[in-house]
Amino acid sequence: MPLLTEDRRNFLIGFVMGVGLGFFFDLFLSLLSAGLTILGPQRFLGLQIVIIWLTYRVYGIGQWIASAPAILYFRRTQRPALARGLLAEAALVTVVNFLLWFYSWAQQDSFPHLLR
Amino acid sequence: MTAPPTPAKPTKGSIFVGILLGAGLTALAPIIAGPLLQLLIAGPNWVLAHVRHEPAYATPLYDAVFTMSMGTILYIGLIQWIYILPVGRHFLRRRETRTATGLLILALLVLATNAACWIYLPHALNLSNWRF
Repeated sequence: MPLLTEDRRNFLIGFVMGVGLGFFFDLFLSLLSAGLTILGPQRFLGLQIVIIWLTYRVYGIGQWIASAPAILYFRRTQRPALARGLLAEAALVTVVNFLLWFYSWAQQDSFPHLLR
Repeated sequence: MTAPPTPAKPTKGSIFVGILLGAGLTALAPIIAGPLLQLLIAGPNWVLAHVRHEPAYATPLYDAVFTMSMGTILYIGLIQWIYILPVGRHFLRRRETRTATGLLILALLVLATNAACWIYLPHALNLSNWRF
């Protein structure tokens, strides 16, 4: 049995796609935030703080806005291995993000050191 | 009498998958390239030192990893072809032409953005006299 079966290959593609999806998610929201600054430096401050949190501090939760529809799309179009790859990547990022928060809590600090 | 339903065409990949895969590879490239290139340089040095029973001089690991990751980011428009071409050829061999097209679209987008950054950013940051 080959090491890289069709299923594993598609899982790997899905995993890398998850990284790309997160990359685009961050990029577009950052551009949106920059656009809001151009529209009015103080007018959309609340929204910009929410965007920064979603793409940075609580990225592990924020990324599901992009990941969840993509996972559902690939499940619906009969490509379960791609969906599983995306799910694995998103879950990994969520766990890492949670661990950073846990680390900062253990250090008795208000924000994750490594996300500062 | 109705015509028999035409069988669905077998999908040969998808442009969406190609674009997202390319974006993922582009995001991973500097993360992988830094330690990998560092290993290629520091690894033989370390082995040689131990074979010759000499002290393995401390290599500025962080600086090298940082420099090489940064280099990959700065020249991503050129460096990306190292992985885009083999991956694209893999999909072409499997007749997944749409996925290969998506990869190519993303690669050209990255190339154009990288070129635009090289043209625009030094002027915007008033660094026109800098040499990288």
